[in-house]
Amino acid sequence: MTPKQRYLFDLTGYLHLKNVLSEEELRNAQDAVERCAQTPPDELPPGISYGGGGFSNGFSFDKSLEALALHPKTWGIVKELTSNRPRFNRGSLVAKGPEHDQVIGKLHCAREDCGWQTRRYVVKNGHIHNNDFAIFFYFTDVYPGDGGLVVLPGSHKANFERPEGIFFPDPENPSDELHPALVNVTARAGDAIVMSELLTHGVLIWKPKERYRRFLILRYKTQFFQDDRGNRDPFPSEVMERLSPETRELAQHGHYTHTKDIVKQEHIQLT
Amino acid sequence: MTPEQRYLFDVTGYLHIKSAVTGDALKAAQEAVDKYIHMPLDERPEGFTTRPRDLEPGKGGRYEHGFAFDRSLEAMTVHPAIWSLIKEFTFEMPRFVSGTLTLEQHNPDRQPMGTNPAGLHCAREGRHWLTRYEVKNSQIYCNDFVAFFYLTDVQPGDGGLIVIPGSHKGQFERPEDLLTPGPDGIDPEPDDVFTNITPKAGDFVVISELLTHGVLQWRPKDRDRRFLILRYRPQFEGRSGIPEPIFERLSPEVQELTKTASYGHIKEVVKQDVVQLTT
Repeated sequence: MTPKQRYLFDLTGYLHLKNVLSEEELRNAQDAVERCAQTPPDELPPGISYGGGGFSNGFSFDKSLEALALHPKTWGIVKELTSNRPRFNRGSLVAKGPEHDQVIGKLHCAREDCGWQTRRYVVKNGHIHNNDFAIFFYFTDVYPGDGGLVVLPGSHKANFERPEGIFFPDPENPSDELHPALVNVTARAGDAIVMSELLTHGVLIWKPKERYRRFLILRYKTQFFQDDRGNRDPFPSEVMERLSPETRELAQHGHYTHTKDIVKQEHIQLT
Repeated sequence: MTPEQRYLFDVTGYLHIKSAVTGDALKAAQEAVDKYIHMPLDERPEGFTTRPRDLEPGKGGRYEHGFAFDRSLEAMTVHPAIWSLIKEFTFEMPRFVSGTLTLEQHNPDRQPMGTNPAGLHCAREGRHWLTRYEVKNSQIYCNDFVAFFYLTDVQPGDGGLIVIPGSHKGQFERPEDLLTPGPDGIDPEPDDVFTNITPKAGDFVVISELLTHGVLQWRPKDRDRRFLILRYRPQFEGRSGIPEPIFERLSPEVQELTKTASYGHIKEVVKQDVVQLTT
């Protein structure tokens, strides 16, 4: 994590990393996403299911997608934010269509959804610790005015409850003008967005009629984080079986003193 | 201070309060400012100085103690739109520090800013981490903040104030290359990390001095930017620097507000929810 990345993530609660994927990485991922989107639901690989414009466990559809969980441009960030105790615990592929995102995806964050006690954002010894964050890899372009992801920079450190209706007083009929405190993040294909789950975020109505959002949502927590899934594998056994050993280790629960072998590596090649 | 204001100030480090002053009150303030900046040097009342010192009437610069030139301007120091914020941020122990009138005009000679386009700065960087922002008992405490009162309109694209929301809680040093200089070397390239605030006449913008802020080049050639910079700190920090001739002009309420006091003392003016200036 560079000093500039650290500064920006600390201030805003998210990072927009541009041109993270090489042309080849992007092309391979886009091809895989297209194949996945074209696959009839009953022919999807075991453990992948479709609903609402998203493929649960879609990251496991192809190695080009799985590899993004340990991508060299984000791996240093994953390690720092988890204090070298990372656990990859969800990977959904989003391939939206014309029927999706036609109403505002309401603002939310883990503090509100799961309780302030459960999520942490702390700076210690010059490093950031955040026990729940997501990385979005974009495979299609988003332009200003399109809609899509909206965030409230700085809200990952909010000390007060968000007043109801402060940003979208009438969600059914939202204004075209965004509240000045909000930012519509417009990622291009090949970009990645790293976002603390403490950051208040939502989805603006998608305006284009011939272009749709396609991206991967990769979720990370600390390896010792306990949620309602407990110590179990985060993915179904049929998904775990087709993952590379490195990704399997990354997905495993671990004691807070344990250092995973993959964490000792700067760059990881899936075997 | 409303819950909405408290939430937004906590998250972003600033508040934009729109249409706080309108009608005759705004008109009186605008006319007073116009009179002050165009007053011949030898007619200015005692104590009113400028930066630069030899600033000619009507020229862009800082007109020190401008708030005291007229009651219509002095009234902004305790205006109802910001009074509850002033009391909350100082935990009911405020001191009014200074009130400078700024006149900014298009300046074709403004020099490039090197690696720091827009001249970003904040109190943390200049004052060695002494400035505080904390939340205690569901209230915000802030020991160095500013209320800008705008007397003219700023439109999108004009330039003016930029801020980096959330930076009042920053825990890392600002990287020198945070913003990329644009072609003129003065303004930065557009970047989501900063917000250009565009207040209209009659608006207040309140910022923590911990908030990283800077100024874009003022682009309009036929309009200027006029605003009061009203500074506040707790009454038990620092000492008043308001010159005697200026102090003597002030109403008793603002005189009291400028005074230093013990951290246990509650000023009479603070006991009022709405302050009316007398005499």
